Amino acid sequence: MFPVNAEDDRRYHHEEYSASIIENVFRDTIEQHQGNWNYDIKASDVADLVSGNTNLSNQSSVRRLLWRPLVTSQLDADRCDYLLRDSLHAGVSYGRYDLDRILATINLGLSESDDPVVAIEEGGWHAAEGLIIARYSMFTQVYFHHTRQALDHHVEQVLKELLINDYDRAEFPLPDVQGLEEYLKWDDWMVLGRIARDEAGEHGENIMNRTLYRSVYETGETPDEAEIQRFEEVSARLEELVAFVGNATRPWYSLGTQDLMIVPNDSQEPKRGRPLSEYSTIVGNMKSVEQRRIFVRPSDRDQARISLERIF
Amino acid sequence: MTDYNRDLMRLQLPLFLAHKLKEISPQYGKTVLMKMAYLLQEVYEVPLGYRFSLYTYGPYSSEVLADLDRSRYRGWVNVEYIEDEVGFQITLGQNAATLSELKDSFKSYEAEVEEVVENFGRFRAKELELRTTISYVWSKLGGPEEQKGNQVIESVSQLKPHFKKGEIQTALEELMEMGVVSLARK
Repeated sequence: MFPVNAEDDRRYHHEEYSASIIENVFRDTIEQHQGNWNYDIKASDVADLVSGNTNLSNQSSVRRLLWRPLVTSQLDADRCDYLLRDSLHAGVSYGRYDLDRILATINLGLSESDDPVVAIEEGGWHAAEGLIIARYSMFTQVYFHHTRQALDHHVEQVLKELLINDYDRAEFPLPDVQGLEEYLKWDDWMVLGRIARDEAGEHGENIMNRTLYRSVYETGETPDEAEIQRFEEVSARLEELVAFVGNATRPWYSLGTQDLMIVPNDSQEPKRGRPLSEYSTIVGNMKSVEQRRIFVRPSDRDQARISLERIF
Repeated sequence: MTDYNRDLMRLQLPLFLAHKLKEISPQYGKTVLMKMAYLLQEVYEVPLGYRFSLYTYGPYSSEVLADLDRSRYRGWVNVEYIEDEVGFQITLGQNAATLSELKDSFKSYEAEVEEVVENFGRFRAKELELRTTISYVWSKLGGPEEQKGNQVIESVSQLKPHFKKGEIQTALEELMEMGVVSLARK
């Protein structure tokens, strides 16, 4: 739902909106903050780190790229934070891991090409393993839960409906100064309020009345080729009963197990390390979650079940 | 191209390159795959749909490794960590399709893949990292082309201090001769 950037013909990414908010909305907060008096960090420095738009003709900006993995990588601050935060708010314990140990053992290592990378010391590899297991559990038990997946679909359709209603197209405003003001109106209060006022069409009603689309058929978490083939056949046989197909193949479901580098303890100089999967048998044998599900409208569920019984 | 076809092409890319680089690449692993995907998409305009951004280790997209994981779990490729080589090695898996079976997915871009393999297939990971970083930096820097060379060398040298400026210059000249730097998308 992000618009296309006319400069490079690609859709804007959420990080570009974050960077624009930092530069345009948080500028004074960052630059005038008492804690920043000694450092003189500019809002644009922070925005560049988030968006990856490094000023390549500025040497300090180029050197700052070393810290980019702390903002976006398998070990970035956001990922370390959201597992704990989501666990707390969802009332589950799956996402807990030893953050203190991760922070105590984080260090720099060298990649196979001798470039510096963010790594974990050997003494912290079990904490790193715990982080990967926590992510796996949260994906399978919370983020890819069938009810959450149905709600995801309804919310997406609601947003499309509301955007078309407001702007004649299912796209958010551009992340420029004018567009940003409009974009920032799209918070939870605004969208939920419009759903409550019956402005969000059929999918808004689905959310309000909890008549969510139902999952009637699913593969295992890591389906093999035969299972995927079977899924495609079932999907084709159910034809118009299929409301939408949910699958976990999007990149944020990737566990990124082999991106985590383990380096020798207390290394003063960055050293080449080994991947976590070489230390941990559990991580070494983990597979990406690629579960797929077929969802139908609640009114079609019985019909879908009858059709499935005929297929099997 | 449909999303399905693009997804299939991305899934099959590690295997397709494992076939193509079998006798050529001295070190076909994750880094080489990453840099080949970058060159194919950003320089030769094969629409893989990855989103690359710059890190100290050059242009990178986590989606490339996510697709490699998926390809590996299908048994299309093996990904093994080789201690002596300090890195991963990608080889044909037990369920690998033959090259001719794969050609359908890549038929519209066969010439581009051939060119990338011919021009870059012989390089080690470190050499490819340098060349793709130069390509990325060149594509992002503005200004007149004749003054750009020195600026690119300066920026890449800041980014990768373990390369001597002479090495960066040689690689840049090589890429200019191939016409690769001027092709990279802004």
